[in-house]
Amino acid sequence: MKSQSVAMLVATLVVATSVVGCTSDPEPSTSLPPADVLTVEFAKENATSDFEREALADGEVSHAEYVEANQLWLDCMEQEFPPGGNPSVGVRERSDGLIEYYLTSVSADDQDRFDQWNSTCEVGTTALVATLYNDSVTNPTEEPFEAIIFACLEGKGLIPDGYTVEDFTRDFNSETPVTDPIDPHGPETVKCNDERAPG
Amino acid sequence: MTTSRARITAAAGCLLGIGVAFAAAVPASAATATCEARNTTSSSVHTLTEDSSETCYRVQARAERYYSSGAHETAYGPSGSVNSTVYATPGVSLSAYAGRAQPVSSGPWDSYVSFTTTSTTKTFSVTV
Repeated sequence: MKSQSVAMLVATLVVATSVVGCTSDPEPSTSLPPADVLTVEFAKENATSDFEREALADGEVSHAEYVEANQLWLDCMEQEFPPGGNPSVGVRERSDGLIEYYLTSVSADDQDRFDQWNSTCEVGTTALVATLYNDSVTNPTEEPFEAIIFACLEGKGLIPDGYTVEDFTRDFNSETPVTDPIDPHGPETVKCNDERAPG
Repeated sequence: MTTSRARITAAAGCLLGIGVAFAAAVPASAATATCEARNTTSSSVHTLTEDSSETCYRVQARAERYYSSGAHETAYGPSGSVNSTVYATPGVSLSAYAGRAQPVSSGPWDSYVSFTTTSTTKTFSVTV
């Protein structure tokens, strides 16, 4: 990592940590509880940049705002992974409209460096906006993954009579392998997941 | 997605949530938050899914792509609160399947863990 880049990362981390630093106040009355479900309201309350506040103001994330979030993220990441460099980072829009990241390296050191920078660069850019958009595309009805796979299997006539989506969800998440009456992780489930592939 | 909370158990310390600036959500006392995620993986698709009974705040799938040209890259699926997927494309192979989770909004991502094409539940744990 170049010294200039180190300085930038440290400076950015200082900003980030100053926002989320320790507190001696046992229960700040203005705090929201930690959330395990990201909602627009939660995101608006926790926006850390003007971009996030503007993108979330109307209560939904457009595709253009999603693309802008990823471009801002990329602009930040390119300070450490310059375009044309080795390795470099990039974003790629898939046929389902979602954007994935890539790093032109598979070395563990580069992946660790990517993760460090990503942790900083996603704040104020993609952390809230992209996650909300991803959820709206992949799960607009907030349907559990298990229910999506169950519907696929049911459509293929592979669900035994009387076996419900609740049964499937229980078996899918069982700590011990379940094979009766069906294997919820069998080849047909994998095939249903494959069929979700865009394009 | 269910609306159940990720499990949080008491621990000592204070928040070191570098890079996850959900400021208003910072709990005053530290805790260990855990959640579970499961993979559904084949040679062409790698999906990491939160366990609906132990909701993770976000999950992210990662895999390495190898192109027939010899080029390779690390691909990161779009993070989502329900699932995250990395796809192969024709002529491209996937390997080194991995994934990570962020148990609650106020904590950092847990480290990546490896998966195989056999479905497995992994528990992710962070100090918040």
